[in-house]
Amino acid sequence: MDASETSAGRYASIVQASPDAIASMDDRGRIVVWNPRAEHTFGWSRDEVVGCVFHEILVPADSWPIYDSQRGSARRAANDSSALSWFPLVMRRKDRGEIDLEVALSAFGEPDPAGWTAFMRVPRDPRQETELFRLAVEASPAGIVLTDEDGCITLVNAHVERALGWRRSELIGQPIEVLVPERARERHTTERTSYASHPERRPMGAHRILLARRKDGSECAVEIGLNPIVTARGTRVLAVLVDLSERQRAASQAERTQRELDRANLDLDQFAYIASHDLRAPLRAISSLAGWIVEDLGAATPPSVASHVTRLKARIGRMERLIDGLLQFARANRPGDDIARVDSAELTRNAVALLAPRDGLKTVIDDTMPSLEASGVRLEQVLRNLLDNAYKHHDGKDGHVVVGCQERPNCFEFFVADDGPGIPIEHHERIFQPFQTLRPRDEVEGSGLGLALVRKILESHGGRIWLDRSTGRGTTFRFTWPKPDASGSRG
Amino acid sequence: MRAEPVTILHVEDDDVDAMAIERGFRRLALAPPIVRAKDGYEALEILRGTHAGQRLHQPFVVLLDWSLPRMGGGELLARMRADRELRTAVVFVLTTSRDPADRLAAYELNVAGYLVKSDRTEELLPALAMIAQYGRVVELP
Repeated sequence: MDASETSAGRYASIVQASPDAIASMDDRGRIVVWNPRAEHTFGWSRDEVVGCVFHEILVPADSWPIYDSQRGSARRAANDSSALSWFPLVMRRKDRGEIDLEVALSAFGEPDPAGWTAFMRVPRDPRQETELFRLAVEASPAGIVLTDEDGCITLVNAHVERALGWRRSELIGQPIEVLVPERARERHTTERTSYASHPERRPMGAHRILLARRKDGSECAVEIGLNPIVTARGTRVLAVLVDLSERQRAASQAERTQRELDRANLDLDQFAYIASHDLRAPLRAISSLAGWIVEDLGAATPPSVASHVTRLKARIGRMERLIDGLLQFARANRPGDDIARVDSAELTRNAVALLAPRDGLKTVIDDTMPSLEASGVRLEQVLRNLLDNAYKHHDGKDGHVVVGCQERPNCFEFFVADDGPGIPIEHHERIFQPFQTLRPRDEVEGSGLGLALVRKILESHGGRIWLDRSTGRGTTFRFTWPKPDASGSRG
Repeated sequence: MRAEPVTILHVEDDDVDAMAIERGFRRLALAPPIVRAKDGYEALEILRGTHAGQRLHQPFVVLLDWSLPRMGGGELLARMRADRELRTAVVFVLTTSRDPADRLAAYELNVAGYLVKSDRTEELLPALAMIAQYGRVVELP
């Protein structure tokens, strides 16, 4: 094998494989060699550029002075590869976009260059990388402080200037302790020294509220993350500050709101107790006295008086139920405090037993009724009120009420269906309002609050209630009870 | 067994509630002497014999409403139990309160019984009959 051929082949393969873009030109600047990296960098294929003048297609007008000057240097340093030096040059791609590159030019041949070679690469200029870093640091929404091993500030960003009121010229070169409240400085210095001997990436002062000192002396709550950075010039500590004052404001606002809520609930409890106790007492007395009137008159009671007293007692009974209903309604948006695993079928059975519907009314509890995590008291209230409604309004001698459930991804959808007279569609919204009854008050005993109460309980638990839109007989109430994970924080 | 009925000191601020007790006894064809105190202060005066108008003779039992104005039923009871002369009096509490805390407080002050008032007179009758019987059968201090 011919040694020169082998080496030519080897040299060719080296150029082809080079990670730098390589273009070689003849004495008139026409491209003769164009390696794959050049194709990739500029977008021109070899066939497209061979024969074209290098600087005509690749060097934009603004870059010409530099390129020309460097070409002069290269000519003078021809054949001396130790004189090869990289210079930055903005070049042009096929898509006419501009690209920052580092270029080295080499001329060969004597006395005048027989040709040129241009090596081109993406710059690894530390100055440019630092520039990128600087821009990122400046733009950061967190405060950034860089300190050297002695704790002196070498860099701060705009956020630090804004949040703490210092100009950076006032901080650079100062010990970091200038940003620490005076009473904490000694401790900070000690901790900083021990950190410097074992620097690690971690939050500063975990479990403590940290305070940074502003120029005007006021203090600002912050969260600080520490990052050691090893550089050629020594270890720097990068501290990232997050201003907590907004978070603190929000937290104390939430606390205030919670206190107000607690106070309001306490007021409500007091009101409820007073109302329940002190409103009922006179009612009881009125009821007793009415009865005694009739007792004392005995046989001499005129029928009209007897009938008045009967109505009197009925009205009193209604008022007592109203008071109970109002109290329940007032407290309906408090979550039940008995959240536990409950069997909804059993709650329904209890409600039926309590209501004791008349003989002809049969209640069927579907086996779809689930076990669920909920306030038994609240769920039972809802079921009981809906059942009560169904029983009270049924007009037939015999009737059926069915209670069942469908499980959905985020909630349980229950239904209470009866075969009673049904509710006309135009009343579907009204019935949920307090005191809206569809039959004369004297015919139906009730506080008028049952459905309003049900809706209030459901809505405050994240559920809702509606009626099946059907004409004719029968009523089906449907309501949803959310599953615990679906509604976020419960219980 | 005693033939004459025992006197009842009824401590009750509400006139209608007091009347209900009276009428209840009448319904049972019982007529125990009833001395009425409208609040705790009056009751103490009567018990200590310092009251201007009312006299209370042994034997007696006390029928006490738990919710009284100014001095509550519990407070009256505590004062009675702290008083050497009144410590041994037999007291029945008659109240609207179903609160277990109230019930416990009453028994801790040694009441003979805690009775819950209901809205209907009929339900009161067994309690009244029991009290009257108690007074007849039991040896009082």
